[in-house]
Amino acid sequence: MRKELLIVLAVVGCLSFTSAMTLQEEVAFEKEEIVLEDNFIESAMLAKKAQRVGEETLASLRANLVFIERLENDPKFVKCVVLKENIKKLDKLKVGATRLLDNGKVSRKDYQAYLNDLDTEKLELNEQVNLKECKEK
Amino acid sequence: MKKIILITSLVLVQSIVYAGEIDGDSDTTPPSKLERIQNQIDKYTKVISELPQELKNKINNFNRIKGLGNTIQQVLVTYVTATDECLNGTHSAIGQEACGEFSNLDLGSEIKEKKEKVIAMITEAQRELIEVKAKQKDIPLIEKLLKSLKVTKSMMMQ
Repeated sequence: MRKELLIVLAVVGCLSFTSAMTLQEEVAFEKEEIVLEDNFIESAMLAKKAQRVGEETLASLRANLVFIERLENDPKFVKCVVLKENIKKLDKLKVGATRLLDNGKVSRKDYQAYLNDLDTEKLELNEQVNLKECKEK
Repeated sequence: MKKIILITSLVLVQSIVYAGEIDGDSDTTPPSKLERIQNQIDKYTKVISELPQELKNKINNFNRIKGLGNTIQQVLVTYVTATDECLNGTHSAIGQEACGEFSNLDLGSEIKEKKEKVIAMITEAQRELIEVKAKQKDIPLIEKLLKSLKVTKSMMMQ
């Protein structure tokens, strides 16, 4: 009787072990499948993004090339580039002057006079920049 | 009797050698169909698991060359402006010392050199974009292929 009981217990034990192993394998397999599925989704999204960024990069580089070719061949365009840079510089000078005023290094009267000079200069430069040859092609 | 023993031993040795050869041959036998399918599954699983990082690298590279193109353009603008300022003597922003350095600058060569760099970058971006588009097309194909390989494998195992 005791011997039979031991045999039954051993068989049940073996079956449980086998079933646990199978379950473990199934879980591992499902986990692998989920990771794989995630990789597909992520890859598809990234490929779409990479294509968009790539097309933007290409467009930007082509614009850079057009700009450089104009610098190379079009003296009027060079003049326009210099004018635009000078306008940017005037804006920077304005910021600098405001800082000097805030720190009490210049009087409000001098500051205002300087600002008026800068504005007049900017107006003149803007008029030149607005000429036909300075328009973007 | 001695002869019989000798012949028997020779046959035995010969059989052992022959058996060893057959055993050695079995090491180089081609993989079974199931093994080949598993190899294909492993290969495509590896491809798809490496793809996200590969695509991230491509995006980073695109952003890098885009930034580089804009920097090149800005550098040329600085050169052109500085050259103009120094030529006209209105070098308030960059100073007399810097104008000395700019007097050695060959603007034409600089523009030509930078233009070649930008053209090379355009070629690189075009090549990378073709690769990205190909990968985009490959993803659903690999997905289908892996599914069908797995179905085949499970059918064979049953």
